[in-house]
Amino acid sequence: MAHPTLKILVLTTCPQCKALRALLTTLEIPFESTDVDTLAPEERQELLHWMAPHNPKKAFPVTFINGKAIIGYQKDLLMEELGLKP
Amino acid sequence: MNTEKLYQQLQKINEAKGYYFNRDMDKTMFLLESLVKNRERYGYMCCPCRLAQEDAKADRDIICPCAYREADVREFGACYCQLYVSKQWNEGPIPEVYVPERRPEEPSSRITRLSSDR
Repeated sequence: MAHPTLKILVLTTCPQCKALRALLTTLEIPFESTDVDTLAPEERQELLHWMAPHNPKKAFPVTFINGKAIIGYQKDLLMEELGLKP
Repeated sequence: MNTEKLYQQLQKINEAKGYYFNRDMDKTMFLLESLVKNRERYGYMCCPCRLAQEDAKADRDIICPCAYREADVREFGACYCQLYVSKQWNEGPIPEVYVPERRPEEPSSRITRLSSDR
């Protein structure tokens, strides 16, 4: 089953973000990852502006998949969205 | 300050208040290293799981231990980033659940201020 392109926004200092990346890597799911806390100010501002409607509380990690935003490291929700058994 | 020293210092202070470091030592030490990293780059120990505004006053509610720790540990057994947990959480009967962000949304007037904006 082909997996939808998946984008994650993470912080380099956050263990839940680290766990999300590790899970996707273990499952061999291709994903794009952005370390938001190390972006240049202009890039960060632009990203936060784009992200606001999907993630008003600016919580991390956030996963964008199938046109949805999964806020936080919610493994069961993510597995379900990927069509995999939690 | 190295993380080992920080661990001992914070452990004493916080256990006396009923807050314990996460039994997962890898996670705890990673979080302590992250706090030291945030202090080095921002000047204050911003919560490692929240995006700093690089402004201690604006972020005073998320300087560790954050203003939401008490309510989160009471409700979920763990704080937002899972550095601090209750005794029961560490001893296992409480399932490890996702702790949602308790911090209110930023008032629209308070935009994210970055170092270049000062």
